[in-house]
Amino acid sequence: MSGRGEDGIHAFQALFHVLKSTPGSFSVMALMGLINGAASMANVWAVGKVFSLAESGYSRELFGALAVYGMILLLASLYSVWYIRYRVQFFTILDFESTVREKLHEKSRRISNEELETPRAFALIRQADGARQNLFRYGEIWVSAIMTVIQALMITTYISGFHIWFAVFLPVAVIPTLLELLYQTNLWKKDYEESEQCRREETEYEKAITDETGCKESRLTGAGTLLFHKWMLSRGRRDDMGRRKSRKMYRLRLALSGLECLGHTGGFVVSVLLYYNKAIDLAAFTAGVTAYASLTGILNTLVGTIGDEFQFRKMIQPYFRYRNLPEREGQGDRCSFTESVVLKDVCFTYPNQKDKALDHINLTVRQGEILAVVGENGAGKTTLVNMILGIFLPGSGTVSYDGNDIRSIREEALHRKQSAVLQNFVRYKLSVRDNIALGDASREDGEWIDRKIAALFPEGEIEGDTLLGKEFGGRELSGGQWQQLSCARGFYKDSDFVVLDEATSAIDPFREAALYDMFQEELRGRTGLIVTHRLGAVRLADRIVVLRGGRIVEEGTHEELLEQDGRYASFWKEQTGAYKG
Amino acid sequence: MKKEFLFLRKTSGSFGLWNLIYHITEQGFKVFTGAFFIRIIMNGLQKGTKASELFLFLLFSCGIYLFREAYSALYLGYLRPVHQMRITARVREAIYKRAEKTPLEHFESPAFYDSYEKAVKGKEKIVMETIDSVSGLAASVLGAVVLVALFARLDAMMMVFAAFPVTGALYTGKRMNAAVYERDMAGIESQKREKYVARSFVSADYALEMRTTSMYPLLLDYYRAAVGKETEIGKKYGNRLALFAFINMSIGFLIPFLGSCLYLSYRVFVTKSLLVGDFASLSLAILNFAQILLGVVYQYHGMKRNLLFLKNVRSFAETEEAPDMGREVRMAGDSVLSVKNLCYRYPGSEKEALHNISLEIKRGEKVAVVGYNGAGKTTLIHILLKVLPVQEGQVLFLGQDLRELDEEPYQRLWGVVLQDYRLFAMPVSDYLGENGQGERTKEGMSEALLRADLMKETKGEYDRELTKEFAQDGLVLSKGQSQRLAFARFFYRKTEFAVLDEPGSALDPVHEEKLLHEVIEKTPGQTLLLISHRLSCVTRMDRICFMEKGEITEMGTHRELMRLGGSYAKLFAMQASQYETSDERQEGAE
Repeated sequence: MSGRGEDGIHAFQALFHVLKSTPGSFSVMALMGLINGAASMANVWAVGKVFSLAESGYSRELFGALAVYGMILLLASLYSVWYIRYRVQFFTILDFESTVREKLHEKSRRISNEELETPRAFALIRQADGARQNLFRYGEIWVSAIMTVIQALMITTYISGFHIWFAVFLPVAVIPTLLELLYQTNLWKKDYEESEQCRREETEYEKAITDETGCKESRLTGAGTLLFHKWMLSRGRRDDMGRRKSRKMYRLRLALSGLECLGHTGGFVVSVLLYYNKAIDLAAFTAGVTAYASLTGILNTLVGTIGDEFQFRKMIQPYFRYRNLPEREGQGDRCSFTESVVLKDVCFTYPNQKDKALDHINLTVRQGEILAVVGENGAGKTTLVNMILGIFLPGSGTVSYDGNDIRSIREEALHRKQSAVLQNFVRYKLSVRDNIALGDASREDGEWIDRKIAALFPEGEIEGDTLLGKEFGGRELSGGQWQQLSCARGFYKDSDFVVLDEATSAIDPFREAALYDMFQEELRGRTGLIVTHRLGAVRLADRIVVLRGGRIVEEGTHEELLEQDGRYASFWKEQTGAYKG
Repeated sequence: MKKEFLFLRKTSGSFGLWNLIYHITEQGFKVFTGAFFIRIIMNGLQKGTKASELFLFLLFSCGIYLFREAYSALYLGYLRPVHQMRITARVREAIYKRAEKTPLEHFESPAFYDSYEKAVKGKEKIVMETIDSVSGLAASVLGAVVLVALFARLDAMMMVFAAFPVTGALYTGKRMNAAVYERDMAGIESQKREKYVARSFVSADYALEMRTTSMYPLLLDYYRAAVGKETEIGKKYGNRLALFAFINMSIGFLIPFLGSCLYLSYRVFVTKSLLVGDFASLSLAILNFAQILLGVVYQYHGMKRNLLFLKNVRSFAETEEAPDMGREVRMAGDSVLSVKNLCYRYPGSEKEALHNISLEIKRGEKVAVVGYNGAGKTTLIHILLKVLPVQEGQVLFLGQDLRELDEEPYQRLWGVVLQDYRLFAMPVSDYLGENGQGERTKEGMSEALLRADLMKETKGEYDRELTKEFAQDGLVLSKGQSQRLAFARFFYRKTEFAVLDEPGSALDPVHEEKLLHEVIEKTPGQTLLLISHRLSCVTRMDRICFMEKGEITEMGTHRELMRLGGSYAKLFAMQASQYETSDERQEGAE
């Protein structure tokens, strides 16, 4: 896990980050903290001043002192007004959080995609996103801590002016509190890591039990009881850990409060004795007692703040860890695709996997041709597609667009030339029109979209403005309808290179045929890459490539491959067999 | 209200008492320090009381302090955390138990789904929060009363000052809370929108599309729009709230506190009619009183809000569901499913999804249901599995009305492979679950995995976790492999009745053929209902039902339907034509 040094850097990084991102709010917050702290000190000062002035009987200055005190209180009350205005409930520095969120997404686009394919990476993104909420709070904690320390020092200095004994006793009385702080932090550290794992497991089970799809799935397959049982177990484990920790904490606090009490009593007794021995006067006594009370309060706050600091520092780690992930190279902003994409001797292995996903692939996709990729599950088809699209970088070998190695091209520039209809297509809970328009932000062709919508929903009960998604009170479409929208979206983009990855898996044969016609029309003049199981789609292709175990085992036109009587031929026979005779 | 308190009592046990004691102790200690301790000591010093008497009092105060510290340590360090865990667990359990018992049909009703969301999403802390607000309020009120008594005793003029915070609380406090509530309500829509878009940014599902399309800037616009709206609302109410807060501050704190300081100083230093100790104690008292009252309104509204949330949770957890019929499912009979005039309409939809469906399925029959998207195939299956209710018409299972059968024992009889399947992060053996006899056997698992052709991937390691969510060496399966795993589970359970809904959508032709062969030919005696687009699969089924716009328009064997020359025949020909080579097409043309 991260060592002390690493955490230390992040503390300053975090503060600087917050300051840079929202200098306005941060300064206001700091200023308010300053004023609020001043109120505490003013309290002590005012008491001392009032009583010493009273003894000398100078009443005009007395009321002057009270007036100053009143001013400070007034300013301090503005602090709570600000707090209510900005911080309560709902709107916690919204513009700051949204800025940070946007920064996170900028980062997402620059990270290497292979890393992002792992569930761990997505967990990290989610954590980083959650962490951003705590960034500003982290800044607040530090401001508060610094103010508190300054206050404590000033108060101590002030009252030691009355008598040296005060200066001696205060630190002594404070030690137990500090001890408690250290021990608490230590315990919290240990507990955090252990319970984190349990917490994540619990969330996973909870999702499965309460999430609607999860619910159906687990009920129909009888998994429901098992999941609940597992959740209870995980829960029980976490409870046990929590109980153990609490017992330790309680015993500690008890012991320490005894010491604290001793300290307080001692201090008080000394003050009373000093008064009786006329070493200090009533004013000093009152000031001393007030100061002491303030100080104790301040220190308790400080203890809590430092505990918070540790907690929050841990919580914001994912944010910085995420921002420090290595980025993908490639600076070139232009990508030309007028001739071909060439894969030369490409090998690729997913992170944390042993077997090669792609093994010595040599392939050329010429501009204007339509290539079909077929093969079994797990043969590497989608990996190959990602490789050609430049989403993954080869472990060894090269991928070049018109002779330019894709490593030298910025990913965005690559994607500008491509559009894809993916297997895991997204269902956007937005309007139908937006679902298609999202394919290309720069194109504004409402007519094209309307035409496609009319073609997809001939009965007219679904229109361009219909909102989709139960969550927002919209309509739900069937799996096939969603996929059709996804196809329209893919073709909306005015790209040179279109990839169709199992684009019709959920669509019925009738509409599938219509879609194939659309594909043929839309693919005219463009380069196409079709990944499919359904060999019926293959007739759109000029050339076919058969993948097996990450290697290309057959290549050629449909007729050539049938003649070869290899894997492709057997696939074909398998699928068509039922239709003949 | 009463029901809510009963629910609180049930879930929290003795915690309410400990919590109340804590709040009262804390508040009481504050009052004690200010009103009594300071007063007695300082008055004593001024009047010149004997040192020994003062020391005795100090000792007594020490005792009180120790008691407070001890209880605080016990409560915060042990009682509260332990009870918190217990309570949240109990609340969650109650909610989950309820969720589990809810017939799946209810999820279709938007009213239910809404109350479900409200209860389930993140509200398990509500019990703790409610108890805190109730105790806090009680302690505050108690403290305020004691302080007013002190004012009455020492200096009646202070009551005048005390009136200010009370007025403030009653006047501005109420208005502030109304404004806060209004603001919250106004922002709900845009907040939901903002959260949805924000979620998409970090969702695995959206990631690939985000990278390859220009979706990102568009989504960003949506996000910014939602944030902009929220900020606007915040500004509109924010200024109003700030003004209220300032007025509240002034009336409730500044004026009474500074005013009484001036007044008391006058009495102590000018007219010398008040002891220093009384001065200190009274000024602390008015400070305390103001603080309490500033908080009381907020506490009160907080309590009301918590009680409202609690009501949602409680009413969900305690909903009376129709009790289980408790009847055993009779397994005799030859007619597995007898459907008569079944109609179904989705809530909120005008058109019927199913219209007058009538169907008979005999034991051991293999029936296919085909048709276009949206024809109602999945709806039919869902009704037959009791995921959707029987709205109109009749469905008999082995002669028993489906409406009168309990959901759980009925669903256990059916083996399913559905369209939306999920992988959970758990070991393979857990995913496969229990077989038909309610046991777990290694041989059964191996056999199932073999039939689904997953031995290579799983390597017989049944304890290997699925996905890399929790285990570094977790098994990551592709979409097709996951579907095969769903098949493995299906094979493992060896049920007598089976439903497959588009089971081959992610499978390559070879695997699809193999698995369907396993299902159709190698499981004689199993009654099977299969939905598929791939007409090549259904040719060998005993019977095919063709559905169109919610009705069964054709029914028969493949041969019969082809001879009929209707919609099925057309569809079949269309699919087949895709596989014709150009020669064959030419031949056909000639």
